[in-house]
Amino acid sequence: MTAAEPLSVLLVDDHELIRHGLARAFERAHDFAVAGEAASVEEGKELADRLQPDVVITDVRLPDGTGLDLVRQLRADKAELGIVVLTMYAGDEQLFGALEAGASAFVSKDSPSDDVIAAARHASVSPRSFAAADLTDAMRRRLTPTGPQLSSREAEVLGLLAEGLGVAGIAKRLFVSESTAKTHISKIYEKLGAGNRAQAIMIAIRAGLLSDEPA
Amino acid sequence: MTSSDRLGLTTRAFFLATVLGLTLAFGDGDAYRGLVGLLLLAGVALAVGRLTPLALRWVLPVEGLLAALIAGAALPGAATLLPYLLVPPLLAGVSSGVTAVLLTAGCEVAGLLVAGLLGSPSDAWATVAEVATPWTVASLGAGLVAVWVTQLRRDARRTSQASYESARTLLSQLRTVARRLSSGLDPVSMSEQILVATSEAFGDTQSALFVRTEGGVLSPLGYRGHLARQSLVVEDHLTEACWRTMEPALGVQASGRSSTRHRVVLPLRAGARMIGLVVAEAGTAPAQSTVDDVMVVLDQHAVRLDTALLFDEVRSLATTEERQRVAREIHDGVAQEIASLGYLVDELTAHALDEAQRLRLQGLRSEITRVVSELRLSIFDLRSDISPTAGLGSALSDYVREVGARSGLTVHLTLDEASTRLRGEVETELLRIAQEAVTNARRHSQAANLWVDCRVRPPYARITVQDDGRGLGAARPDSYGLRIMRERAERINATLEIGQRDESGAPGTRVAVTIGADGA
Repeated sequence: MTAAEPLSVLLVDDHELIRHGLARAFERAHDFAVAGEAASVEEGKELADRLQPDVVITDVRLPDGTGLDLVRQLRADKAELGIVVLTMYAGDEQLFGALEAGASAFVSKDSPSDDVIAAARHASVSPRSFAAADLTDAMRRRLTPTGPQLSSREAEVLGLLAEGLGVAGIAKRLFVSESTAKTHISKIYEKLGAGNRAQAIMIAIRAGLLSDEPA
Repeated sequence: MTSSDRLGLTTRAFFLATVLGLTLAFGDGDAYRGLVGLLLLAGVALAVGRLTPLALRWVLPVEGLLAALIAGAALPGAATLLPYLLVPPLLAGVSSGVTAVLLTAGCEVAGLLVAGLLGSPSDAWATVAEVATPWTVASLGAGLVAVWVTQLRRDARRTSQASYESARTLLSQLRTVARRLSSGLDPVSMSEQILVATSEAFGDTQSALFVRTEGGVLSPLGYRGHLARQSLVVEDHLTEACWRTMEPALGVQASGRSSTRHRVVLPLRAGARMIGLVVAEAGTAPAQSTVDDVMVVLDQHAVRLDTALLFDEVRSLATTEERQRVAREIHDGVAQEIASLGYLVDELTAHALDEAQRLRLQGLRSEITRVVSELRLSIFDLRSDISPTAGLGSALSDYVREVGARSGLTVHLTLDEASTRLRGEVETELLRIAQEAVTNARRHSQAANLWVDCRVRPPYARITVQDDGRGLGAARPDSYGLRIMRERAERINATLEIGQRDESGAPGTRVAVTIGADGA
């Protein structure tokens, strides 16, 4: 059976050993051929224009700029190019940075070379989607509201407020003085930006600080 | 060619050109001969001056003497050579000083006397003197003006140097102080001293000290008196008046049912800048003389406090810079090299001869992956910082959630932050201590849960990091991580407690760092 035309890959990384290791890995995978290697944003851009590869694998930190700039430049005129961002940096910011720049996949440098090849395959098939190993976790972290944060005591008081208890009732339930209970309540109002009890409870429910069902 | 060489050349060329013009217009045979003599003289003087710069102060008087002899010999027939006499004193004025100018001018007078008066018939002496005197005086004057101008330029240069010199002196003093006593430049203890000084003067029951932080926000540095934290806030017209005028502001504080209290807001001034405020409340209205006395003490302390705050800030900036540099170094160096080793092992694995070898190589690969992940997190640690707008709580929660999730820990985070901020330097150190505690838990404890509790009530703050891992047993008490945390805590005068998660004996470690005293 004759193999289909292999996919051409351009490697952009200023570390020669990394490029070498990746090149060997792509050679082992028979559906890829390394078209070229570049060590800077400028060189990467030039080779991408000249060689017209199917997939570009790029590092983030490059001597003349960031790989994300390269991604943006490439994506601007090559909608169907597969782009894989490969980085040593950790942090959700990096992942979302790659996503926003227009990359097709994000792989960290601690992953085995098979992961890079899998990402390159994904990128060549669906360049305009985005794949990353911990994308779901990162999305969840990003979507979790970083809204008001109550202390455990305040959370307790908020629960009692939602139950309908007044200042005296709360003080009695928590074995504290009424003035302490009042301080907690005003603190809660301040943190939630609420003017009264009803508002505080509404805001707390919306921010996920209270479950909807009555305690 | 040095600038003094250039000056010598252009001055001589200018006056030779003048003399040449005058001689062509009005000169006679003597004048032409003299002109050639002056040309030779100027050339020799320039050459000698360039060859042996040290002999410059002798070259000019000799040049003056010879020029006077040449110009004087042409008198009284032609006075066209006399302007050249300005050259030697002028140059002497620029290069040396008044003495050299006087010497040079004296030599010229001597030369004129010898050549002009003695060489001319006695009935022409009056004419010779009349023609030569103005030029002699002019050359002396030119020399003295040159001395004066040169002096002015030198002074100007010295003034621009002066600010560097005073900065250098201050910095070297700071270095000495900082080395000798690390607590000598501690803003918190300085703030206590200031509050004690005000209390003694006013007999006040409560006082508070606020310093201006980077964002222009007032951050409390110290409270004195049990009600100070609640009652002494900074949003009132007295504070505003004090801040605007940089003068003490006094007023009456009607505080509800209790008796009338008198409030004083005192500026902390360092030079023409406000660095903060002291707010105090007393039962009786303080006398103006007392306020004046306190201000004398405060002005002194304020400069010290400002220095301590600046020193802290500089140190913090330097550290941040260094952390970024180390992060880059790890990122570009060892991390990439180990990562590329990983690719090499991948290749070996692909070509393994048998199953046993393949398994061994896979084991090696997962070790390499673990090491590279650790390095990535170290780089992340080194690069993470507190944003000026978000504050300690949000930086801490971002860090903990991300790192916790990456290492499979379930993170329980409680944040309780007041609206006021800690000083930037303190926030940074607290974040670093918490990072270190989280890192220790992640690396050594094999815990499933991580509890992080952060309570900020400036100037009080407490962060607790707990895990349900195997506890401190395995960690050496002198371990690097623990030492770093202790050093950081000492730097901001915070207390660090490291121990069992709870007394009942449940496994796990607890690290708590506390700064200031809890007032609420």
